[in-house]
Amino acid sequence: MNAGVLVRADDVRAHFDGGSGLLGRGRAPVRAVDGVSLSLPYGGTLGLVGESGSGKTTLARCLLGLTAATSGAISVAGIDVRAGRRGDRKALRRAAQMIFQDPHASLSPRLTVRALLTEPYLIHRVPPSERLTAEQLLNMVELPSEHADKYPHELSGGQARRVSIARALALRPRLLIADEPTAGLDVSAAAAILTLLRGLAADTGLAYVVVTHNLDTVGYAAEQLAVMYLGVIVERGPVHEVLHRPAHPYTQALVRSLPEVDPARRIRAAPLSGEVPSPRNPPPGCRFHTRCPQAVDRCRTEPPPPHQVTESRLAACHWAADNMKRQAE
Amino acid sequence: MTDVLEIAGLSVSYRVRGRRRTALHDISLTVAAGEILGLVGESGCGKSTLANAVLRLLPAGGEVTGGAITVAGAAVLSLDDTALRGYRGETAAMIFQDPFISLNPSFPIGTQLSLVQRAHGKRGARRTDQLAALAEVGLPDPESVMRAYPHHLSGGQRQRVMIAMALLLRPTLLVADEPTSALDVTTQAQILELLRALRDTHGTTILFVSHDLGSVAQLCDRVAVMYAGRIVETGQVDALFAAPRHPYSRALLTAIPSWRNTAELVTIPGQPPNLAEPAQGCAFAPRCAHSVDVCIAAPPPLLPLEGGQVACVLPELAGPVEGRGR
Repeated sequence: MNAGVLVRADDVRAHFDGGSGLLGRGRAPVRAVDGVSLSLPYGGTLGLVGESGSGKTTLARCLLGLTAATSGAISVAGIDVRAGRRGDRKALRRAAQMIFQDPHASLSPRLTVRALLTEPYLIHRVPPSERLTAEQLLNMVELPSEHADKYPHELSGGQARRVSIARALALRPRLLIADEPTAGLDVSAAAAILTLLRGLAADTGLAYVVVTHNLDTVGYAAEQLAVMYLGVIVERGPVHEVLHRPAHPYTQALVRSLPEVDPARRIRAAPLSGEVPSPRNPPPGCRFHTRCPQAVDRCRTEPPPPHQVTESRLAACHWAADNMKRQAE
Repeated sequence: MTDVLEIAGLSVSYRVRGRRRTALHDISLTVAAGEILGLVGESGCGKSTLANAVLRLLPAGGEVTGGAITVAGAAVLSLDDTALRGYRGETAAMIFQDPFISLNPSFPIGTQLSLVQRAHGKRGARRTDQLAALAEVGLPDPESVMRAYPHHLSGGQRQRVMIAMALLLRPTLLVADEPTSALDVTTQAQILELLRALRDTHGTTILFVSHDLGSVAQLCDRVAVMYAGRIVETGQVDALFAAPRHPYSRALLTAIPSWRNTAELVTIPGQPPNLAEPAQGCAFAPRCAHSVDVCIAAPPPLLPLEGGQVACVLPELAGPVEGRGR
């Protein structure tokens, strides 16, 4: 195994059955994640993007064992995530941390910031010599140390988000997974959080995965990009190469749908019509064919395998090579 | 062009734990017929309070303490209850960020559309009008949407239903408070296109409230930027985005990440304004790189400047947004 690989996922699936009880029985399972493979080196940064219902949050949770994958192999920092041994789980929590979308919901309202930040050390029985103080952790996320004695309700959304990042950093993980780290934040607070994440990666070699529907966030905060649609990754590669020359029609539509902060780049017609089909019953062939302007008969029957479109890029589209050529012209 | 919406010297305050806090200070703003005005600012700046005041929908504890609002000739603040019921819906309609809260979960869409028509005394071809409105907002198969309950629909579809509901009565003014903030980019682009089409076909005047400068750049003709309960700058969208005059507008524009540009974002230093302790002078002065003594003394008035308005004593400092060129 390559020593440089921090996260490796191989053909991961997460299917949720119809549910027990009268109504759920006999219904097709929801194929939230349906055969995803990816890898991330130590210190790497990855943006996982897709519309709601694409399976991006489920995949992120599977990587940390928070949601059980139903098949496939996942390893993080050399730990087999799916084996589920107790010792492994604890080691995994030290190696990889997640910050959730709603920071106020993930911080106990009864604990002070200081208690929240030092609680991980008690859980993991970290010897005092290896602990960071609450003040040091607050300093890492650029918050003044007087916040240590506040309660979560006294913090603004941006400050609460920083505290949850500081808490995640307490155990000095190698990997941070951030689910929509800027959701609900104002422009200036969001900019500060993204700049903080970039700085942490540069200064401490922290690897992170940013899960988001916002391509602008990803373009700023990540080096690698994976685009998900209905449970599968449709395109993957270095973020700027992909966004400037997308090979998959879905990625093209996402880029063209972005409301750019420039009245001169107005979108005249919405690039994509319709809605994401149900993951209970994904379309046969290419999952995107029902909304794809390039779809032909072959797309409706034959699922496109990931094509290597450049040395560093993959795109799961029968037309990927043609699309790349067209954009080069 | 005549003005459909005219706000003159509007002040609004909220009673919080027995104390009055001013949310809007002496706001004056006009929106011309068929114009789309973007009202932007960060949370707490008062943009939603302003939108709610136009529909007389201020929450309990909110009170207009001065000024006037005129919509299509109607003096909104002095309407009695009967007139207000007609005003809401027929003259001015509102759509919100979360359509799920605005729709009743217990009734199918068709019933809810009928209720709107009945409340406003519409007779005749109600069903035909309903189907036409649902088709106009781009909902495929309007017949099945009529039978659907809100939970059957996606977020984008629910927002379309809300717009269809507003369309039924053909209001002169549509107030949209963050209508695309909860939607995916692809759906967001569809809703923005729909709002633009509404204006183009029916001449509907739109007040578009958003913190998302991207959507504002895409949709609006003119922009008003708010900070701490005051309008700090207005202007044509192209001019304001190309060369913002107020330091706050400029700071906002440089703090937005774009995939086209990976240079470090310039964040706004300091803390957002504390509404409990309003500043004596310009509310942005504590965070402003250019502030001088006069900024702290009194709030600068909103004065006309080259086709727009700016509330800053040093507008000549402004220039094109540099560094993060788009």
